[in-house]
Amino acid sequence: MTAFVLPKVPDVTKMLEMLLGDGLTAKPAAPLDAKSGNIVALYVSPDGKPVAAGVCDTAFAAYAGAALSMIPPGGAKDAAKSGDLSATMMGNVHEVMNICSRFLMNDATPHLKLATVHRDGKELPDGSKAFLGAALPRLDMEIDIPRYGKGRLSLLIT
Amino acid sequence: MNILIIDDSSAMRMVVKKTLRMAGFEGHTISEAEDGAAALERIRQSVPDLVLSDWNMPNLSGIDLLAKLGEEGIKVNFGFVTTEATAEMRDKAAGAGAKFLIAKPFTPETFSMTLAPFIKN
Repeated sequence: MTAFVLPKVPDVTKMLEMLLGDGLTAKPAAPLDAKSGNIVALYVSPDGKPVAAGVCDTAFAAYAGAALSMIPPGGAKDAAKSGDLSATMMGNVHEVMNICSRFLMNDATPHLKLATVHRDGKELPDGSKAFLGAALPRLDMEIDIPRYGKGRLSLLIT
Repeated sequence: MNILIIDDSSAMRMVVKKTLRMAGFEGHTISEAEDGAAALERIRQSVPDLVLSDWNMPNLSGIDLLAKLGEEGIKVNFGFVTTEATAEMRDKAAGAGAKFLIAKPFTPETFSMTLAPFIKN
């Protein structure tokens, strides 16, 4: 029994399509590691305890971060390759992860909200690393953003 | 009409503006603020016809901004565009005087239906 809820892939697809452009597709994918180079968003309960996480790879962060502000795909592809994500891209990933919080709770669950987004899961505070080390229920997806490219996004709940 | 969009994400402010256009609300003067504190200063100087505000923001949250406006006796059509969309948060928003709450993610149709009573083209 989990405290929070995971969305269905079509729900995430619809939301990302609204934000990032028509024709976006999502499909189940292999799990992403929260602790090795990927971007990690931590969601907390009202008492500040981490209760859920969003993890994405550099490619998703670059492509979603660029698409939300309509940054040309060329710059996004360079960022995906080099890992050098601009402040705008990271800010936009923060907003995408913020909107994902909607999917993790409902009227029957406790409340949570996005607290922080970490560029690299290796930089997470120790308490959060322990939380992410547990075997958590998760949804793992590959997202294809038209004109930009494919990246991976995972949502984990307690 | 003068519409103020408040969100700490510049991309989200852009998405809200785009969605207003897609919902058929065109020809209005749109201004922006990046958090509740900046919005409060702006509203004190000139009260807009409509405020579309995020909830969770640094410096001053949307709900705290709404409370401040009430304390200062500033009357404005104020609604939220937010991920905070549980029944509890909707009740809290309505209790503080918000006229509506649009949940992120939203569609032009949601904007059209919710905002029609507040935006005169």
